[in-house]
Amino acid sequence: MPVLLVTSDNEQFRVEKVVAQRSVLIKNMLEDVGESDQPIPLPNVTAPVLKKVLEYCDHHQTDPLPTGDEPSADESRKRTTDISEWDQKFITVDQEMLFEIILAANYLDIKPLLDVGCKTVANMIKGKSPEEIRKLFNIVNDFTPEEEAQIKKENEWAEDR
Amino acid sequence: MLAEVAEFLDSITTLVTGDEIKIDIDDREEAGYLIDSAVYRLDESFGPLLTALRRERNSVVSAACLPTNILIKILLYNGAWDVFLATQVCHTWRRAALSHPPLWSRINMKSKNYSSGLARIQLEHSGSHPLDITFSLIDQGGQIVNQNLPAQPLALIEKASSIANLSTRTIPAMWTNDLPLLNSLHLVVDPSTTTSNYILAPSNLRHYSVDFQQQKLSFPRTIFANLKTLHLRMIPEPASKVLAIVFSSNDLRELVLDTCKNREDLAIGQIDSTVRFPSLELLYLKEVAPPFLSCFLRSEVISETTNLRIEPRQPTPFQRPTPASSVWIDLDRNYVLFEHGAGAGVTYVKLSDVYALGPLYNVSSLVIFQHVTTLQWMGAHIKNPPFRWLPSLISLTFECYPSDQHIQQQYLRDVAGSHLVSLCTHLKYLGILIYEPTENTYSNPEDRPEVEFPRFLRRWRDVHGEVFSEVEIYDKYRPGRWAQMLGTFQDLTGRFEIKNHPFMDSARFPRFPDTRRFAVEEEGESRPAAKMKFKPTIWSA
Repeated sequence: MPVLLVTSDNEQFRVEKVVAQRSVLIKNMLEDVGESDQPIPLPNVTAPVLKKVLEYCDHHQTDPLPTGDEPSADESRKRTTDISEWDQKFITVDQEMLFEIILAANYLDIKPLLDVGCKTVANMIKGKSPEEIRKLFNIVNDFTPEEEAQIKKENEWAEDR
Repeated sequence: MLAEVAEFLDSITTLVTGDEIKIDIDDREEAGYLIDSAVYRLDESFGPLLTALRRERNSVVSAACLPTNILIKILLYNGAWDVFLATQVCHTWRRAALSHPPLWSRINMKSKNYSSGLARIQLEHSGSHPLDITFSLIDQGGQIVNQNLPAQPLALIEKASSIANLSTRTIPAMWTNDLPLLNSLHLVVDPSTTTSNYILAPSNLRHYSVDFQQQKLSFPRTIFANLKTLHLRMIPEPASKVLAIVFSSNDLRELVLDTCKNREDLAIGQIDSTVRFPSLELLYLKEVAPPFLSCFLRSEVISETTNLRIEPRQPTPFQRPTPASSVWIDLDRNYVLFEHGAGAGVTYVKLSDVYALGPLYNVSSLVIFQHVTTLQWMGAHIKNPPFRWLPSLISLTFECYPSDQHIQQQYLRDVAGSHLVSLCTHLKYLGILIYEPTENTYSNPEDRPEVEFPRFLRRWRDVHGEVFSEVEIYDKYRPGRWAQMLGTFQDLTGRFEIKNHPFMDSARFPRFPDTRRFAVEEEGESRPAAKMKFKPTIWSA
């Protein structure tokens, strides 16, 4: 049975339930309301982003759903930044869309998509200096003098071989 | 509001310009004081405003205003050095990175960016979170040397939940700290130190790996109390003694014996009858001397084991691209996976390329082959395939090497023939990988696989009254010959697919479960999570 999703910019998407349920948020909503053809509002997601997210959900609709007791609980071990070929192509988007996808995956609770987005950003910053990262993302240095002093001290420590 | 601020700042800059700032009084000291005072007042008045404006500016930049949980998730994929640099990007990133101690808890002395200063920063920011430490041991002319060792390693060790590459040289003799936080330890015995008075015995250890380097080292009983994983490498003890040691732990789940060369076989078979063998999820015998096979391949052990892997002592000079010379048996799920070389050096189970299953099969209590549903037979030929042992087979994958460039040729008909049709009546899947570099392998064109295989499929249909369910073929050199006859194969099968890559790694096939890895190779390199029970995906319905 198809499900009707409504984005923040009021666009409607009719998708198969199995695809929509890749989102734990939507899955829980559907379980709460039971069998109903009521549209599901998604006030934090715009149409272009939802379109992209649904493309991911459609491609991965047969993947096993992640369970709560996954090893990811052991956060400090989570280092791998390998991304499958399809996912890599899928996530090759402009920066703005990349962050929108990450935020949407976080809101919709689609863990594998959130992982792909975060891994992509992690790969982008790997090996770059703070200044290079700022330039890459158009961030400005907004530290207080106290923070600057602390950073200076830590940099002196880090030079200590 | 922002527009007003901008207007105000513009009005100030019109009041005074840089060119107008000149010292025109004689008293230089007073001039210095006045300028310092002006700079100070400017900093005081405009510093906070500047910071506020910059923060506001960042609040419209997606990367600078990600929620803390997402920033932490991103940083968890990076090593300590990159996390350290990330704290210097902007206020939001710094606050996120400093709020999460696990980001700082992994100290890797093998990393190219490691410095004792970085370790000090990590120690400070990791707070009370236990550390995951990897020491750096390098081989220097036969001697194992500790590189980048911090001034006070014991202070780090006492805070660690996981330690890799710890040399016995790093721990003082008679050091009795029971390290209650320590969960995982990989210890390397330094041959140049005396280990007779070495009594390290962490009280809560779950995962223990020891590289003995052929040196003696005692095993205090307390170590075994909670042990789940045990890897022993180059242990000088005889097999029966190792068996007695390892099975004194009731909770053990994974046992790896690697490069155990002692050939004494004292007291094999004389195991105390009261010993209860633990239920192992994985028993992995890698390059062990024959007495170890005799000792561990006993029904009491195998009946309690889920996955058994044996790797021969000598890799064989095998022309085919075998991933490893080994036998893997998933005893619990009744899968058998073979990836072995020809007549490899395992002498006890006498693996031969044809009847590799034989010796294990003959010990009927060890493996119930009639329940085996999946067979993946790689790297060796199966000219007389023992399909009579495998009546429940549902899925079969094999390789064809018909060219005489290979020492042992494997033709498609050797496997997909009348025996398979009549003996494996539940078969639903065939995965065939063909490697035939030369075109003139067959003097008789009727012997070509694309001609032989339809004969097999027709025979199947005639005997069983329905077409064969599913076939996947990967032909490395000539995929076109299958594509030309696609219609024929589609008529003779439920599903026929020509793959453009070797599909051994696809999700359809169960993979040998990862053993626990104790040491990281390099910063940023992937490290599998703690071992989980292996779950095959094939035919689960």
